[in-house]
Amino acid sequence: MKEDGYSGWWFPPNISANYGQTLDQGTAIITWVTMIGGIVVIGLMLFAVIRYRYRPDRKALYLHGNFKFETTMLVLVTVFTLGGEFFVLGEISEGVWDKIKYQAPEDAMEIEVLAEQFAWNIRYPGDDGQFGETDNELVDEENPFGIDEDDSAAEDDVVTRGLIHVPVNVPVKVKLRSKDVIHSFFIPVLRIKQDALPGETIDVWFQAKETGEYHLVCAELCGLGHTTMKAGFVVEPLEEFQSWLEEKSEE
Amino acid sequence: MTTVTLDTVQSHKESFLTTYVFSMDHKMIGKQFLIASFLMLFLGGCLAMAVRWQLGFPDTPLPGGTLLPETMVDEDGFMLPEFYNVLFSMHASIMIFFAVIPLLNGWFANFVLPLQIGARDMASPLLNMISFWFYVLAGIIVLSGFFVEGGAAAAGWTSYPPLSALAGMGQTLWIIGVMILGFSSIMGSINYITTVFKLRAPGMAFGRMPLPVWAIFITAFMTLLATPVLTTAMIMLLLDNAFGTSFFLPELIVSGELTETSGGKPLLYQHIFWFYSHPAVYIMIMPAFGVVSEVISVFSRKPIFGYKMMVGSLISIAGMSFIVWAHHMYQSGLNATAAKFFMFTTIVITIPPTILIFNWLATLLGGNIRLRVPMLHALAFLSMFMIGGLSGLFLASTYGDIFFHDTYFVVAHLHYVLFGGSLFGIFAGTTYWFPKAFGRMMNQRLGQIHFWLTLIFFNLTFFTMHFLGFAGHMRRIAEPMNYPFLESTQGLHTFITISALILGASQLIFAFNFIRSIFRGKEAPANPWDANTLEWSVKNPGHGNWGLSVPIVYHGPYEYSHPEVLEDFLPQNRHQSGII
Repeated sequence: MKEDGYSGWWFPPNISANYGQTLDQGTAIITWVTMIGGIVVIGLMLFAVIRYRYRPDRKALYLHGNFKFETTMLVLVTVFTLGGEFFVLGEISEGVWDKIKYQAPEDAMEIEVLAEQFAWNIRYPGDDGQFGETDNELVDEENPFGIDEDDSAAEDDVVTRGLIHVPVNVPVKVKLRSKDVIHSFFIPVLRIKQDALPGETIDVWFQAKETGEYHLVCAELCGLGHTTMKAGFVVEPLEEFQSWLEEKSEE
Repeated sequence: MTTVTLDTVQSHKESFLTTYVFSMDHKMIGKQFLIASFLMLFLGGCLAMAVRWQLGFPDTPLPGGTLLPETMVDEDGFMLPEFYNVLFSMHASIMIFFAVIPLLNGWFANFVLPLQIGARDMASPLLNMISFWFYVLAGIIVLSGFFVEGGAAAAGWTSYPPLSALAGMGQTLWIIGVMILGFSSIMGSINYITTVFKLRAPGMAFGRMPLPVWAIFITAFMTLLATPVLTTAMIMLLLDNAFGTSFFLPELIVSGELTETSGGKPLLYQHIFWFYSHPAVYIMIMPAFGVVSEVISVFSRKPIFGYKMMVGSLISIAGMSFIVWAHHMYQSGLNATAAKFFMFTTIVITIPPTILIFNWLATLLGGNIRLRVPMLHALAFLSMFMIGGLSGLFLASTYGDIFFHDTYFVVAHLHYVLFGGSLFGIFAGTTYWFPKAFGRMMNQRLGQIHFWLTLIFFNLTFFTMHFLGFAGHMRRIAEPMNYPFLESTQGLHTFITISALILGASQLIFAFNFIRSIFRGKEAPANPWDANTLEWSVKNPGHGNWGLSVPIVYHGPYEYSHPEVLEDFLPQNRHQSGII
């Protein structure tokens, strides 16, 4: 069984089956580019400081600039910056941003995640695949979503607190909401982060390819209990997931 | 040209109160900003030390913690989570609003700008004085939050609603304070712009203005255009926080209770706030660009490379800074297509700073480089700002930001820019102009010790935080050990805390050197660095700067090592035939 431990100098394990790998590759490329850039500039600076250190008998070069050199520099920097960064950020990622933000698969399993100070509430639609109607007026301790019991779609809804189970290798679409302040839905092993805004429902999707016990945490300051706001995130084979859900619905 | 005679300059008598407290002399106001902001810097630093203590030694009570009131610590002296939120919120607010911005735009702008353009004072000395006292008032209001029920503001320096709108008195005071500080900035910037337009000495054409003046001048335009937007956000937030409106609040369920708010959008605040705060990021560093350009040229004994390109870069940074704001909001629920536009503009805005860096390097190459203390800080600025700029690329890409957003990677990045950049720039400029401001030299040996300790422990503290970011370590959490996947980062946290404590302690060397040199330093000659600009032609810094008439400017500020001049410098007010 895998866990989301700290791996030292680099990312935690990556169990994302969809875009997570591309994100890590993109970051690796940016790391190389920036390291080389940094070493060249700082190296050049140190070279200049040592090579041209003060000598009383010497006079510095009297040079205000050079129009040709400066213009060439400007063009080169522009081409390199735009070209290089679009290559890294655009081409390599193959529109990964759109994939993450817009292109959740049609057949994704839907769950609802409702953040509040300082807990994560999760709702599964049950066998009918339909979420029951909710009403803010009905919200209380027992009913964090404010589910309307009169709605037939609500009968088989399953609600958990502080624990998400998802099946492995199945795309999952999260309808993300918040009750009170801004929270942020962050699962490090899936490379996914999305703020939850009160008054809005935001879609987030992911697909996990390895079973294990991981964590969902809050990444946006949400008040005094922010430091404790986490939930278990369990990825398991489909059968186990289904029996867990059944067990929960009987409670 | 109006000639002011010695008589009119020295005609009025000054009392202690009008000389040191309610002064209208730009040099004194500059020094007031310097001292007040250094006190705030010290306070902000102390708060950071407490934050680091909590993270580095979570099982040891805060030293001296038992002396604090019970709203901050428990009976054994351990920090409460709500106090931790206060600490980092106030640390950032103090450092940004009350230290870095006023040091660059209060101290440098007031002290250096009139002297470098050959003006006797600011266009409106009265407005200048009011601007300083608004800053003091704002500081008092924000800090008084520590003494009200519920403690000071704890919603981060960004104070996003609904969290900030639901918070108590401390937050209300924070909002009012920041609003008043905005008035101070606006008054200052109007004054700087007018002074540059109206009060340049004869011969001081725009093309002959030293780069610190250019940088402050351009920054003033950013301040003038962006700050009213922040003030707007603060007024709306104040109404939401204290008067029950819902500009930023939809219907909420707070601790089980339905609120009466409706129809507001939390995201709206972020747009308005960052519309100010991204230009503000450049307000927090652009004057340092100017200072560092000056220091690098003076101590390389070489003209700044590509003067016009430098000015052009500063202007384009200022212009573009208004269209990149939403890159702080990629994961906020911002429309994903809009995010792509902001990634594009963010890529484009990296071009002018790259030009600045290349020009600084080109200035160094072929120079005759004197490694005096201001120059050490300027070189540290160049390299640390470079690292900060590069780490920004991880966050500038919409998808790289998904993982790093709101992690320690951001903390590392912003400290490389604001500490590694702005603060090293502030040290460079402060050590450079100290002799003119106080008539004495700072101790060089102490300056070198302070510089090296700061550089080393700054890197040990903040470079390490990049790795916490890679671990997915969220910012702003008081107890990382609550999270199983962060348990093994405790060692790293302890290391960072020890480095940070030494970094903090090293600043006391600077404080000692600074205070001692004011009273006991070696007497400074009028032009200790053999520099060209006009401030060094003031022999006796009294009221009105120059005796009989203001100097006449004959050529640009960077005529160093001219082959036809015997010395390796040529002051702007010294006529030399053939050099214009």
